[in-house]
Formats: sequence, C-alpha cells, structure tokens
Amino acid sequence: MSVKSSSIDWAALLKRQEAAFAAADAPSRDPEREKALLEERARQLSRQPERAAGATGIECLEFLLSGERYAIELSYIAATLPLTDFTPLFCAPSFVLGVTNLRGRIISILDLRRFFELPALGLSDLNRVIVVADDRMEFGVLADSIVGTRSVADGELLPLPDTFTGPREEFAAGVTAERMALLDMGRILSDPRMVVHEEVG
Amino acid sequence: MLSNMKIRSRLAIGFSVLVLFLILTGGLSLKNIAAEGDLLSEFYEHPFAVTNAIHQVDSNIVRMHRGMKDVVLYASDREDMEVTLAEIDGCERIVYQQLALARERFLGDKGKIDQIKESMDQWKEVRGRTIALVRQGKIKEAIAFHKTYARRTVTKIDAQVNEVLRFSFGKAESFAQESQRNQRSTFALTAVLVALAGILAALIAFAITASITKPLTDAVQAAERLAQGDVSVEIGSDSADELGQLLRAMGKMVHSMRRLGETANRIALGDLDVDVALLSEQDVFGSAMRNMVASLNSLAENADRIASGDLTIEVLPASPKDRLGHSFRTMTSNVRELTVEIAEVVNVLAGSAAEIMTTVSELASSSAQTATSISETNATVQEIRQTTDLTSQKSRQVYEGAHRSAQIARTGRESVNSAIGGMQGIDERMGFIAERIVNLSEQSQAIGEIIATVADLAEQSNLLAVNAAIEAAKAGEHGKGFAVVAQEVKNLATQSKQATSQVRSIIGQIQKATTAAVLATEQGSKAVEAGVKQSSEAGESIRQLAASIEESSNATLQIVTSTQEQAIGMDQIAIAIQSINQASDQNVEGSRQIEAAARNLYELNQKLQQLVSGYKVA
Repeated sequence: MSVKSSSIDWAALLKRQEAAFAAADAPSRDPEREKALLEERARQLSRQPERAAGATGIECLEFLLSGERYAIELSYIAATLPLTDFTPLFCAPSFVLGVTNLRGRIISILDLRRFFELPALGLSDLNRVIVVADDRMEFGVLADSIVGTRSVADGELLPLPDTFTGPREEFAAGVTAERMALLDMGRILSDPRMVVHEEVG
Repeated sequence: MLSNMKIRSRLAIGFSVLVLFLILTGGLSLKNIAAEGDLLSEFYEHPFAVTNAIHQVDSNIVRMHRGMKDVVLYASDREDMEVTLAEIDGCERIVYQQLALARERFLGDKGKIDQIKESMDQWKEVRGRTIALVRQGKIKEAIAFHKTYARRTVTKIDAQVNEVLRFSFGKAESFAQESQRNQRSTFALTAVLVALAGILAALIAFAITASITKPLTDAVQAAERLAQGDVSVEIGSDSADELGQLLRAMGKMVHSMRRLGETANRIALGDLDVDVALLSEQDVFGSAMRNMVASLNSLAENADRIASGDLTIEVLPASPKDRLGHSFRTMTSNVRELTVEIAEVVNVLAGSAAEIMTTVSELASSSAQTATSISETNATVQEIRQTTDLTSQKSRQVYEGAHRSAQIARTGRESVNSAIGGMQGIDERMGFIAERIVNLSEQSQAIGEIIATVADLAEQSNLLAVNAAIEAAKAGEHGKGFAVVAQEVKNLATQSKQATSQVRSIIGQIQKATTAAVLATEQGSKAVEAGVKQSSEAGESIRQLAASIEESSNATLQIVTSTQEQAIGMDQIAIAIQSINQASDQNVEGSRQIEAAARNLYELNQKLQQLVSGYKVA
C-alpha cells in the first residue's frame, strides 16, 4: 500500500490546488501591473503617429473576404455592424444578399464575393456588414470579418497584378505589398450595376 | 419238638385244629338260631293271636252298638230294621267265637275273658228289651231304655276289653325283650369264638412258616456268598429234617471249594511245586489244576532260558486257544526282532551322535557370528534412536512453527478483510471523486457558455471600436484623440477575445483533464474492484494456506507422537537385542553343553553296542 501511495504526491497536489485557489481569490486586477501595461500601450500609441506623420496616407478599414484581404477608405464608411438580421430579397441578383434595418433605415447588403467571383464560405454570426455611403448611394458590404483600421501610404500602393481580372480589376484601386486590395469605393458606389431596377412580371 | 417233625405232619396238625374250632362255632350258632325260632312261634301263638281276637271283638261290639242306634233312630222302616238286626246277630256270633279263641290262648287270668262274656250276655238282654219296645212301636221308650242301659253296658264291655288288650300288649313286650336278649348273647358268643379261631389260625400258620423258612433263608444266604466266591462260609445243621440234610451237603461242598481255592492261590503266588490230589475220577477241577501247573512249569523253563540271553528258543502253545503260550511265543519273537532292531538303532545312533557333534561345532561358530551381528545391530539401533530423538525435536519445532504460521495466517486473513473494507471505502471515494469531477466539468461548461458571451461582447466591443475609429477618422484632426481611444478599445476587445479563447482552450483542457480524471477514477474503481477480488482471493489463499498449515500442524503433531512411539519402539528393540545377545550367549553355552552331551551319547552308544552283542539272536 505504501508502495502504491508514492506514485501520487498528494502533498504536491494539495499545494498546487491551494496555489490555484489563492490565485483565484487574489484581486484579478493588479493596479501596478495594469498601470505598467497601460503605460506600455501609451508608449506604443505615442510612437505610431510619428511614423504616420512622415507621409500622407489613406485611412482605411481592412477586412477579409474568402480569406483575401481588402480595404475600404474610412471616408466612405458610415458604420460597421454585425450581420444580425437580414431579409433576403427574391428576384434580386445573386450579389444582393438582402435588406436589413439600420436604426430605422432600410439598406441593402451586397455580397462582393459574388461580384468578385470569389468562393462563398457561408454566413455566420461573425459576419460583418460595413455600411458605405456617399452623397448618392448607401448600402452595406458583407465582410467575413473586420481586421481593423489602418492607414495606407501612397507609396505603398502597387499596380494591380494580372490575377485581378473582371470586376476586381475594375473596382480595385491598388494592392499593398501584403496583398491587401484597396477598393475604389467611389467607383463602386457610382457603378450602375449596383442599382437594381428590375420589374418582375 | 416241632422241628423234629416232618413238614407234612406239621401242616396236617395245624389244619385239623382249625377245622375243629370251626365245627364248634357252627354248632353253637345253630343252637341259638333254634332257640330264637321257638321264641318267635310262642310269640305268634299267644299274645299276637289274643290281641287280634280282642281287636275283632272290640270292632264288632262297636258295629253292634251303632246298629242298635240305627234300630232305635230309624224304627219306622221295618224292612231296614230287620236287615240291621240280622247284621247285629252276625256280629254277636263273631264276638263269641273270638272270645272263645282269646280265652283258649290268653296267658293271663282267664276270668277276665269270662267277665266280658257275662257283660255281653247282659247287653243281649238289654238289646232284646229295646228291640221288643221298638217292635211294639214304643220308639220313645226304646230310646230312653237304650240310652239308660245299653250305653252303660257297652262302656263296661269296653273297659273290660281294654284291660285284656293291655295285658296282652305287656306280654308281647316281654316276649320281644327276651328275644332281643337271646339274640345279643348269641352274637357275643359267636364273635368271641370267631376271633379265637382267627388268632389260633394265625399262630399255627406263623409257627409252621417259621420252622420252614428259617433254615431256607440260611441256605440262600450261604449260596449267595458262595456265588460271590466267598468260601469262608460255615454251613451246618442239627435238625433231622430234609432242610438239615441239604445244609450239611452244602457244608461239604464249601469245604472242597475252599481247598481248591487255597491250591489255586499257591499257584497264583508262583509256587509251582504244589501237588494237586484228585478227589475222585470225575474231579474236573483237580485235573485242570494239575494240567495248569504242568503248563506253567514248561513256560517258566522257557522264560529262564530267555533271561539267560538265549533268544533262539521256540515256544509251542498247548492248544490253539493257549493265549499265554501264544503271547510267550510272540513275545520271544518280538524280543528277538527288537534286539536286532536295537542293534541297528545303536549303529544309527552312533552316526547321529557324530552328526550332532559336528552340528554343535557349527552352531557354536554361528553363535559367535550372531554375537558380532548383534553388536552391530545394537550400534545401529542406538544411532536410529538418536536420529529419532532429533526427528522428534525437529518435528516439535515444525509443529510450533506451523502453529505460529496458522496464527499469522489468521492475522493475515483479518488484515485482508480490513484491506477489502478499506478498498471498498476507496471505491466509494472514487465514485465521489468522479461525481465531483463531472460536476466540475459541468461547471466548466457553464464557464464556457459565459466565456462565449464574453467573446460576443468582445466582438461587439471590437466592432464598436471600429465604428469609433471610423467616426474619429471622419472627425479629422479633432478626432485624433478619439481615434486613440477607439484603438485602445479595439485592443482591449482583441485582448478580451484572446483571453476568452485562452479560457476556452483552458476549459477544453479542463474538460479533457476531467474526462481523463473520470476515466482514471473509473479505472481506479475497477482497480479497486480487482484489488478487492485479488484481496478476496488472497484471503481465500491465506485461508487455504491456514487450513493446509493446520493440516501440516496436525500431521507434524502426529509425527511428533509417532516419533515418540518410534523412540519407545527403539528402546524396546534395544532391550530385545540385549535379550537376543543374552540368548546368543546362552546358545553358545548350550552348544557347549550339547557337545558334552553328544560325547556322553557316543560313550553310551559304545556301551549299548557291547550290551546288544551279549544277546544270542541266531
């Protein structure tokens, strides 16, 4: 029996458990540590503008579509919202996902993947809608997920590779070195194909 | 006097005396019977006849008196009266006849009969008068007359008749008394005479019988003694009768037999020189005795020759039935053969004695070998005895060890039982732990749900931060600070998301760990079950072990006892070997003695051979 008991070090186990409980009971927010963390972050943040201040760039929102990275200029973006509720529209083109209610306004949601002939991944709670608008047009663009805002310097933008064909070539303003395509939102908004005006008999 | 008479004359005299006495007695009896007859006839002649006559007189008088009464009372019927009168006259006639008979036989005063006759005559006159009055029809006078005179006369006649009757009865009585007296005296006399005759007859018979039987009895006794061989009896008689002669002859016979007996006795005592004298030509006993003496003499001569060692003689028996001669011949031939056989046996005996001597020497040497073997055996027995002691000691130790082992096994069983109990407790605790772990798992699931909510919140915060950043960008230069805040919020949201993913992964790990723990506890439980089973098996094994130890303990106990018995047996064997040793020593001693005896036997045999050679066999 004594031989068997040596395989389990109960004392060590109990010590570990005590330590775990102590950690759980301890105040989760260590003020000093938190302060240090915040200071670190502040330092990081205070450094970034210096880097950005060197050149004029385009503030844009980066997002993912079928695993590819795209970006939209912030100036066109009204808001982002989760794809909570939407109503599919019958007899609409396939790139029109449907309509949704944005604080009392009905806006349509476009699925650029269809437009760009990208493989569709299906919808989930994590899908986001980026509401874009200008003075004439307003609609939502479906995104798989939103990466975040970033600024793209003018020099960063490279001409479009040969792989961009069709609508993508048409709507992309440029591609960064990280293969992020900046969409020419003004062109998309003004494109007549976006306006669906069909009557169904 | 009687003994000198012949037996026939004695018997004749006795019978004559008895016959005389019988004649005397018969005469006396006849005389008395005649006297009795006379007395009876006299009795019949006188008192009996008179009484009868007087009775008739009396009855006829009564009839007459009654007839007279009828005449007086019933005088009216004349015819009837005449008949009655005739009857009265008949009765009167009978009365007179009977009175005459009575007067003739009456032994007393005859005057009394005459008085009755006179009274009758008077009554006749009275009757005549009465009848006359009746005939005249003077009935009443007749009645009065009859009453006055007839009754008186009849009463008188009655009295007289009674007197005569009384006398007659008295006479009859005296006759009867005389007859009885006579009878008694006759009876007494006859009885005396008969008794005397009986006594006399007995006396005579006794005297005669005694005179005959006494000498006969003597003779019979003497003859019986002779028959039994007693010749010392003396028989003799002085009487001159036939029995005396018989006894004297028997006396002579006894004398002769006595002489023969003496001679035979001398022969029996071995005196063969006796001379037997013959009493007569026909003396069979004497000649037989003489022959016997001669035959015995010849046998004695033969016996003398045999005694002197001459076994060659041939005995001739006197007759085919001569048992002694035959026996003697057989004896001599047997002795002859015996002597020959003895000679052969003596030779054999000599050889046997030599063989015995050699055997005895072998026996002595083998006894010595036996003695050495015994000493070796004794040493072996001592060794075995010591080994047995050692075995006993060791087996006792083994027994004690087995006893202790049994106790230890019992303790072990108890320990196993408590271990089984402890394991069952562990099993319960394991179940408890598994349950708790499952609870923890469920709770961590709840945490996961919460974490999902937190992740959602982080996502929303992220989106909000994006929106804020957009708004800040729209604000241009004024919104720069807000953009920083939005960035910060975005960072926080990202970190929260990371944290939630970390927590989720931790929860996943926890769930894996709990599953592993549950599995481990299940395995532990199974292990405990196996442990319980193994412990039970171990307990059973220990029990069997204890049982087998118990058996071994018993076996060792038996070994202990049997080794003790073995030790005792070894001691006995040692004692027995000691006895055998002594016996062997005695054997050696005995063989020496046997050797000496065999030597003596050999010498004896030499002597015997010499003796046997002294007999002449052929």
